[in-house]
Amino acid sequence: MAQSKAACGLATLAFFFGAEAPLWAQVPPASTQIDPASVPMPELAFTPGPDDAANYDKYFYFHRADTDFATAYADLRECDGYARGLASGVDYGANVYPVPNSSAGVMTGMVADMVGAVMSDVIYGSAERRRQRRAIMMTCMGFKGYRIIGLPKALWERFNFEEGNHRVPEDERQRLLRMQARAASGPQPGGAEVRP
Amino acid sequence: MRRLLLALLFVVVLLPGPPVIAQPSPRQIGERDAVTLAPARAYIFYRSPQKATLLFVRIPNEADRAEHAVARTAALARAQEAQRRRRVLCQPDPSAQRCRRLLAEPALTDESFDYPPVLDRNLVLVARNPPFSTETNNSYTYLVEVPPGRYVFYGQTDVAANVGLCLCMGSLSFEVPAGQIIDLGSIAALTIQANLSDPALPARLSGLPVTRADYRAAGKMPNFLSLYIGRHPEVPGVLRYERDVVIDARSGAGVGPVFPAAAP
Repeated sequence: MAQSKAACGLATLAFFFGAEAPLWAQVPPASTQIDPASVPMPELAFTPGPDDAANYDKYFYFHRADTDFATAYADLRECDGYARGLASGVDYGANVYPVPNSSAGVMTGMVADMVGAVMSDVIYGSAERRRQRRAIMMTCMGFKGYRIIGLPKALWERFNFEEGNHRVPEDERQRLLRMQARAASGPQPGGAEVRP
Repeated sequence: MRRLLLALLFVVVLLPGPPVIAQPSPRQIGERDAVTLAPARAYIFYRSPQKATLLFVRIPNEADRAEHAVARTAALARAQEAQRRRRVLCQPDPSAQRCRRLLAEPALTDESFDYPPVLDRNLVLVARNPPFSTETNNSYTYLVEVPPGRYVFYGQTDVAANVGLCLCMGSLSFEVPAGQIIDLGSIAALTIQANLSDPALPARLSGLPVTRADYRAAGKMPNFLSLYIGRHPEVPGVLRYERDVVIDARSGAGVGPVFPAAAP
């Protein structure tokens, strides 16, 4: 199949020259009992500036009224796993943490090579990867019943992260996800809701 | 040059070893191909209003699981060795930026090693070309020969358009027995339409054993191909959701992940 040969070749090149992450993937340790009081609550109150609303599709957090910290943290870890292409099972509450590199590189063979071309850094670039992450988080958390609340960038970047062609170190990732879980399970927000 | 060397190291370290059991790959049957059913093989058939590249995953059988365990063990050993070698390379200058990051990473263990839940041979990609037939209303049909087993509709990709989406948060599964053609119905926009007003089959399938798929709700799956994610729409009597919980509409019970995370 000419199409498959071309796709395989493109995917191979794209993977080899696009990837910057380590060569292996790691599943994080099990989420031990965490006292939510030990996790700083992000600052969420703000007076909207003239340009803030235009960027709420990029800078936002999740909130659900009937959830607790542990559930919110588990939900965020699961969705983060989808966003970074975690290869292992979906029982993210058990023994899983996100991986340094995309598992698309671990799957080999013609099928994975063909599909890998879709997600290659060479084709997509960092901006598209960041967009993809936002879309996946919105979709996943949306299915779980979370609302999406807009924030100004300055507040957002204190407890969130973007991932383009680099990978956030694991301990930093979990620290930020825990803060997101505090916000997600905290008091009813007053900010503008984002409709994806 | 450095990236190429790293890439070559990756190929050596992480490619699975040769399969223990050789299995024929799925075979997509085109418009000019003869339709001859092999008794030990199974067949997936569906209609599509547009050409599309779809992905299905065959749920691993005992042989798959055994070979997967062997491949995973070998991959872990290679990855651990690669980590050890890279750390050795950092010994002359551990303060270099890339070395600080590398040395800060925890040692890979069996428990922490992330690895796809299936072998590549469990994936079935039905490419947009060749279709099995082009119909008079400019729609298409697809027919693919596969190993028998239970399959899950995984997703869709389109390399040319740079899109791909997995039904990672809920989908449908169906059994494909040996020697039979299973008619999935029509698939459009990542949605299976099982009950068709016009379920006519192409003339080339006349006289062959064609059975309509019997669908079951399928639970969550990892996004191991790094696609966008979604889920199959609810199907009355088969699949529904309570928030993100996948429900078997026949029994009312929740459906667990297709590939539960389990200690190797």
